[in-house]
Amino acid sequence: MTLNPKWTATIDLALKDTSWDDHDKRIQAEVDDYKKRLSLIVSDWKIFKAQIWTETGAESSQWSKRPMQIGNPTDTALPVLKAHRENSDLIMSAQVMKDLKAGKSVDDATFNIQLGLAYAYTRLATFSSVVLDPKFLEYTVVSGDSISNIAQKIGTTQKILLDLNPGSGKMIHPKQKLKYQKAAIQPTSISVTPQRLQDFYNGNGDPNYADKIKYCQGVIAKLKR
Amino acid sequence: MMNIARLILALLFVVGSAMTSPASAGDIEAWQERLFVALKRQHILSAGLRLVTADYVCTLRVGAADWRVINTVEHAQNAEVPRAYNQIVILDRRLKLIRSLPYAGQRPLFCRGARLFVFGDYGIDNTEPYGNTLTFHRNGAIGVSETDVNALPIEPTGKRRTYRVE
Repeated sequence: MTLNPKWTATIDLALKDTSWDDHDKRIQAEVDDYKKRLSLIVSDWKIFKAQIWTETGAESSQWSKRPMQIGNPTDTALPVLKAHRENSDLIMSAQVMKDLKAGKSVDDATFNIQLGLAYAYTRLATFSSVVLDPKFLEYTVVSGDSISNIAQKIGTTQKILLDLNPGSGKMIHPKQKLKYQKAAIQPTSISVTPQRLQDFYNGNGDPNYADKIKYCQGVIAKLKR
Repeated sequence: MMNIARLILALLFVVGSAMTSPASAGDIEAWQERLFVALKRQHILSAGLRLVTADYVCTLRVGAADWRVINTVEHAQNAEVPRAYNQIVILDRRLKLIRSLPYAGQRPLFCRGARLFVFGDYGIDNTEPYGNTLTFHRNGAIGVSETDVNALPIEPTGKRRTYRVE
């Protein structure tokens, strides 16, 4: 697909305007923090610089407030983070979760970038069951139980329960004994590419999203400052 | 005797056609209107987002029940770049919500019995197991497994069954 020439001309302004670098330190600091906390992350921070240019860019009135466009009235990302859905609580830093709970303004550019990256990493991560203790234990089903509430109650995961108790996905009944191991869901890989950002962050709302990021990456590579 | 045989043949033809032919355009439009109302009434569609599409995909046969699979795509358009919110929505015969499964780069493709095949790897709540085959159970549990793409149970295009929407 061909990118709109008006849009590319706007991005090209970055070659001469240093305000397009305003958020560099914020992005780098955030990516570094993720690298320290989650050893899985190997992505270059500049892919997020390109993404922020795609989301807003220095010519946008939103650039200094909501560079990642998190928290717009109908934005679906903020509710996911606030409610800790999609395992976002396993991705966000304790500070970001605290700030979210305290109702910090999404018009703070640093916070907006933090939220944007939290949502991106949440959506780009794959999560798996990790056995925390190899010892096998047993649980007796009581009335009203479901596989998901049992997993939560006894500190394991649905996958472990289903793997160790074939057939339990279809039906469980009171007094049934279920084998399990202590386990938790953890992020096991995070791959950041323009196409994955289009698919998982943007939800394919903009079919040119990946191409726009790639275009921005090309311009960023030409910057000599 | 000959007339009775002809009548039976004609009846078989009519019944056969009714079972395999698609609904009329008017039926489809009326059903789609019912679908929109049901999605809105149950707050399955997000307030403030713009609905791009809500399409019937296929019907799951779970035990004795028929569950409709609907694909919805909504846009948040007040961002500088439109962001999409996509869901696989499972409704019962009366269009009552059974389950909603948000998805990103994947999409629902077709049903076979209680199995829904999707494009791409899907994990419930973005958690393993990931796979392209979702198996639905009466109690609401969903199993996820992987089917080799070359082994997908796809019928030749010319023999593809059509379903009546009702």
